Amino acid sequence: MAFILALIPILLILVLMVGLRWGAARAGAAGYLSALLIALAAFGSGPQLLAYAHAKAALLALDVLLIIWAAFLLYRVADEAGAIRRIGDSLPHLTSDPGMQALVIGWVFASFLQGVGGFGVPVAVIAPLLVGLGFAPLSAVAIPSIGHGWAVTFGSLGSSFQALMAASDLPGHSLAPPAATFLGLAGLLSGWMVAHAAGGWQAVRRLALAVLVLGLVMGLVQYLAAVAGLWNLAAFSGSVAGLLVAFPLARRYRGAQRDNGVLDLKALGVALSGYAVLVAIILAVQLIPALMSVLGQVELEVHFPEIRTALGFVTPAGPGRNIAIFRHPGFVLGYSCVLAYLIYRWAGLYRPGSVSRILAGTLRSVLSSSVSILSMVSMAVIMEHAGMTDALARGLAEGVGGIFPAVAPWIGALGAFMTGSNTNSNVVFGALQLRTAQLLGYGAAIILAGQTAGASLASVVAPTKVVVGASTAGMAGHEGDVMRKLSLYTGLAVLLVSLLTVMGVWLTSS
Amino acid sequence: MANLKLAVHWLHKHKFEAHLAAFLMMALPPAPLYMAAQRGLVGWMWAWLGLMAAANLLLLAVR
Repeated sequence: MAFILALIPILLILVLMVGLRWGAARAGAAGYLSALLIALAAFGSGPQLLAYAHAKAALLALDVLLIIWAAFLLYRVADEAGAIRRIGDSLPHLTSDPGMQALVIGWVFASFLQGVGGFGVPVAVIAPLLVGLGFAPLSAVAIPSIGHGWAVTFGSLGSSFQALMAASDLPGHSLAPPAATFLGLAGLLSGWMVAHAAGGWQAVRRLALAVLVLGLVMGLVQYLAAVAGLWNLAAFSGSVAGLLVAFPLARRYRGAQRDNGVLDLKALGVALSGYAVLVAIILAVQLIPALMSVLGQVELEVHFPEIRTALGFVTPAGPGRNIAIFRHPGFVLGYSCVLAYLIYRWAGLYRPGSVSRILAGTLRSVLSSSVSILSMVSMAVIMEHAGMTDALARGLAEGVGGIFPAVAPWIGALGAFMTGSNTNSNVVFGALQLRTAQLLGYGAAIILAGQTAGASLASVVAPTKVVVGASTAGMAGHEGDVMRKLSLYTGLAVLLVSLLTVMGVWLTSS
Repeated sequence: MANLKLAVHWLHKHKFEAHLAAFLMMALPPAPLYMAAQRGLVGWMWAWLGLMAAANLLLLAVR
């Protein structure tokens, strides 16, 4: 009974968004209200528990919203300067093959942005670029979403992998090999899925070799970095290797237009400078210890006491989401916005009144996304504190028994779908997966690799991420269509991880 | 019923303003909720939780 009740808010959001095509703001509100009522009526949650849950949710939402607001602002800064149009006009000179454009930008470059950035940035940055290149808005959101899912666990400089190690208390050297193997193979599948999303089966056949080369290079380099203990840089290294191979490779797929014309490199350089600044600043902040230390001095940290429901479910005491304000990816994106604006202004790309147009355009774009994220994050945290998430995971794990290895990645996927984050899924379900694996006698490292790989791939279809992508590509209010399109691709990728987990358990036990 | 339809239509026409109001109604309560929980002020907790719920009801009404 607890399992079914806990499932209701998630089912409601799925049905409203995918079935009835409601926008995320309305569906999120419905999910929030149902979670609140069920937590109060059936899971013994009192006002104090709900009060703390809302405060924790606000911190988590702030963590996410800072990035979204700044990503939109950077996009508006570049768009107002005509940089997006310029990049869009220039990329066909590298290759006018839409399938290859999708691979280079929506798979390799998206993975690079995930490697150095984090939540939502790849889709928020790339979806408008693909729209500018002539892709349909729905495909423009789907392509980078599918393309970067494999890079989430070892992306954001390994934050999700760190969370997995912390939650399971297992060392990185035992978790990294299976996790990097699963994600590398899923990355290869992602490449073919990107080709399919861009041009159907014809593109899959035509670009099969390119996907194979790029996928093997990225997956192998990520694996080697992760196994060598450099899990913070694993996705970054893999995608940089991919970019180095992708540019010469793209020249071999020039598309129907054989003479791609003369490229204005100076204008392209100025247009790209906004994004070059972004990459340079992210790398500097993450890789220069002195800068990291200076920017990390001001932290927002709120302590929460132990919270217990009337039914006895306990959330231990501890700090909520710790936010190092000036080192936060949202602020890092903010620094990039300021520098990019100054560069574009110095280049004379703005008309009078640009600042007010940039700010007004940003506000209009982010508001709908912001309310839905507040609702959905609050819903997820209420469910977590009320024990609903725990009931859901236990019901799934206990109900499936012997086929647990096949189900483990789906539990990770469910966590990522609910919270919009691979990291949160690992935090919420990591210990549970470990305990269940130990009870059933399966290899814990394999099960946990399945958990994080499933979460990594499914995080891209989480409503909170879909909202970001949909908004940047002009699909706000059509998030249900995006989720419908992504569901099949994501489902296939998680299914692959599920099979790999079963094989891994079988190989290690035999 | 007619008034309800009118209200829904008005909200649809003023979607931006409705979303802005809902955002502010959701952004405001967490800090006071934390303080009320620390001090055990149950009445205030319900009041702020009510505001959060009202914000979500408002979102639900905006087509």
